[in-house]
This record gives sequence, C-alpha cells and structure tokens, in this order.
Amino acid sequence: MFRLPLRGLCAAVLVLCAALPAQAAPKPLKYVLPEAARPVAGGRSVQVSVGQAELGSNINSTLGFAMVAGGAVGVLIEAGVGADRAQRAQLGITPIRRGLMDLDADQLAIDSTRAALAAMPWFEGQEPAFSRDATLFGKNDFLTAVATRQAAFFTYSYDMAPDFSSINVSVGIAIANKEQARKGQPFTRLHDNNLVYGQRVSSVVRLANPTTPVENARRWAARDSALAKKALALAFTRVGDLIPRALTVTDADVARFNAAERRTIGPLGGKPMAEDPGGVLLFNPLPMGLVHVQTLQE
Amino acid sequence: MRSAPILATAVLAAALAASLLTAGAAAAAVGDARLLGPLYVEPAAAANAATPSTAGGCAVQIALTDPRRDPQIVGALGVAFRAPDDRMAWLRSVFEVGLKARGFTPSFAPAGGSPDPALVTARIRIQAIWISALQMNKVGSVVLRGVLAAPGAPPGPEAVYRGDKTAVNMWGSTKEFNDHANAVFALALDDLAEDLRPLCAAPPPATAALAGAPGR
Repeated sequence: MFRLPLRGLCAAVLVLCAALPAQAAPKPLKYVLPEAARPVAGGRSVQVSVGQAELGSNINSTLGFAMVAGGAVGVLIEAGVGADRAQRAQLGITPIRRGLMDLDADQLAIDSTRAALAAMPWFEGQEPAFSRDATLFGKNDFLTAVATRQAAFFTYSYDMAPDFSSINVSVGIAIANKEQARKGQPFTRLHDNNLVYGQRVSSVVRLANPTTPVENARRWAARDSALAKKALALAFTRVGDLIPRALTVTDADVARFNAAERRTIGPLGGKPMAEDPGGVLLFNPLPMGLVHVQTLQE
Repeated sequence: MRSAPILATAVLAAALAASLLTAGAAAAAVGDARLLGPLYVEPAAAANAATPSTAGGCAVQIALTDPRRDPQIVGALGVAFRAPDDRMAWLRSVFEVGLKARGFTPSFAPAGGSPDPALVTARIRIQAIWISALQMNKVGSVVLRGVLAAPGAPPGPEAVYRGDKTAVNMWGSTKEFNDHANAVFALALDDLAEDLRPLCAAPPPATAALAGAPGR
C-alpha cells in the first residue's frame, strides 16, 4: 500500500532549504585554533557523545536530483526509492551488527578521546563525560552545567558506507564558551559561528578489493564480524591520533594543504596532508575535514 | 485513487517549501527532548496490524536487566528521544503487555533476584534500543539478549531477539516514532514468543521425573 510521506518530505525539503543560505554565504570556519587560544584558565570540560546504539547504516540519496528533475512528484518517487534502499541497508548490516554485539564502541570512543587528551596536555581536558544524546540541545545542557569557561565536545559516529566497502569512524570536535557572547537562545552558543573551534576528523577503513554490496557485507560479517571488529578498532585508534593533529593545524598548514594537488581514493577526495604505508590523510573544508583512508589487510 | 493523495502531498510539500525557513527556525527553538511511552502498546491494538498468535502460551517469569550506557536516551530526531522517567516500568510493560498479547502469562522476578525455576523463565538483557531517521525514513532497532529455560531445566544458550523496521517518516511526530518503537519491540517479541512456546510444551519436572522412575 502506498503511504503518504508528507511530513518526511516536508522535513527533507526543510533541511535542504535551511542549508541553502549557508552555502550562499558561508560563515568563517574556525578550524584553526590560534596558539594564543590553546590554553584556557581552568581547563576544559570534555563530553564524549555517541548518538547511536549500533553500527550505523547509510544510503545514497538522490533527493537533490529528484527535486530538480522531478519537482514535488520527483521527491515523492525518491521517498519510495529511499525507503527501499534503507530497508536493504538494514538487511545487509544486521549480520554485521550481530557479530559486533560485544564490542563496546562507546568505550572505544572514550578511550580515543582519553588518548587524544593525554597527547595534548596544553588542552587541559578534564575526564570525559559520556552522553548518548549527541543533539545540540544535549550539548547545550552539558555546557550550562559545567564549571569551566569552555567545554570541548567530541561527537562520534561509526557507520558503514552505502555500498559496504568501508567502515567509517568520525568525530566532530567543537569547543564552545560557556558564556553567551551574543543575544539568543542558550543553544546558539553551539552554533558554528559562535564556536571557539570546530573541525571533523574521520578514519575510513576500506575493504581490499571491494565488490558488490552483498558480497562486501558478507565479508565484514564473516567469522563473527572479525573484519568489522578489526576495522573499528583501527579507526577509533586513528581518530584518537588525529584529534591532536587537527587541533594544532595552523593557518600556514592550511595554506600548504590547499596548494597541494587534489587526490582521489575511491569515492573520497581531498588535499593530501600526509601519506605513509598505513594510509593517506586528506584535508578538506568542513563538513568533511581531515579524512584518513586506509585499506584493511585481511 | 493513488494519484489524488500523491498530488495533494506534492502541492502541499511545495507550498510548505516556500515558507520553510521560518518554520525551521521556530522548530529549532524548541529544544525539549521527546518522551516515548509511558507504556508499551501492542501494535495489534491499532488498525491494520496483524494480531499475534496466542497459541501455546504459559506462565513465564522474566528477569529483566538493562545495562546500557546512558539508557534514558533511546534515539534522536533533531532532539533526543527519551525513555519515560520510570524506564523500567516502560520496559516491563513491553513484556507484560506484549507477551500477554501472545498468549503468555508473564510475571517478573524480584529486582536482582532469580526467576522461579518452577516456571518457564527468561533472563532478558536489553542490548540496544534506538529510534531515529535515515534521510526520509524512520528507522528503529531493538536488540534483546535472552537466556530461556523450561521449568526445572537448565538454561539454554543465549539467543538474540531483534526487531528492525524501516518506514517512510510521514509526520515526524512523537506519536509516530513512539508507534515505531512499539512496532520494533513487537517484532522482537514475536521471535521471543516463538522460542518460549516449545518450553511451555515441555513436561513439568515432576512429571518428567515420574516418567523416568522405575515401576512406571
């Protein structure tokens, strides 16, 4: 039976429309933390949030194309197609999730953050507090409750590529002032233009020679999701290594990265920051940020 | 009959798209988490849902634990979905209402205690509850880990009962997502009930002992 996807469509259109002004007039992105701003009296409270309970699935969207090519009717068709894709993504990921049930990804996120904080004592990060609520409002509650002048938010996500060719661990880093400098609701302290610092680092662990989504999913799930466990452990460790690197990027570094020739690895691209046998680190403007890509050795 | 609702939706979507910026800003100002519950409602009680089988049920005693980290947060759609303040009452209602609807008579072991071995027992651990959106879809997953035992019998191996459901996000309302949570719980309960039924049919321990006694 065909079901009327009115509210979902409206929400999707709303999100797209809300994104348009941001693209038209980008705000300056503070992904360089000036050296003078690195230490802060009293240190920083730290929150680690993981807004998911299991390995996430992803689907490719052609919503933008559907809107342009088919208008509102195109959006309706896309809704049906998207629901089918999401259903198939769920089916493919379930066997992988089953093997990952005893893997504590929350703890990996906490450990990665602790390792990053230990590597940058100048940051004066306090013991991380964990939250499942990764929304703006959850962060706002934390910021209101802390006793320090600044709070640092490490927001983790871990998921599968839509074609099951890679496992991705990503962490959004945000530093916000507790004090509200401008008029507005308290949660506006966490809006991009009010942040002291904002950056994203990701670790993408690719299967060697990926093929079809079904076959890729089967490989991740084999032997109690052994490859998926290995990839997640690698990726969480890698983002822990990348956090201090991201926080110490300078304007000169950014100029140097931007002058480099763009590299493409599978579906990912960016300006190479570093390369070694363990993989390639790419620099991109937000929302992608720093992306480390490596291929899993089976 | 299909074209009328499609066109109506399309026209309305287009009209809303023209005024979405203000709607978006207003929506963003509402920062309260959305509360699920307060209790589980069997989806079969709603229209168009299949009624679960009630054949072969019996008394089941459940020992329920929820060791999840930050267990009050059970999903997100812009704001967090929160479990009711009395989360354990909500979770107990899943089994109380859900297993009753499937022909069982559920009861609960005292907190921290063991279930009555004279009954069919189920030690249930909540592994995951997550309700969210994936692009234009609402997605939900519930994962229960269960160790079941027939009366007087040793516990069986751990089994995993999953409820996964994806559907188009129609209205984005709390009720819609609460119904989705109930639906994924119901799917997990269907599988749990399937595994409980053979245990109900197992002979009670006394009968089994008598059957094996000499002279019979």
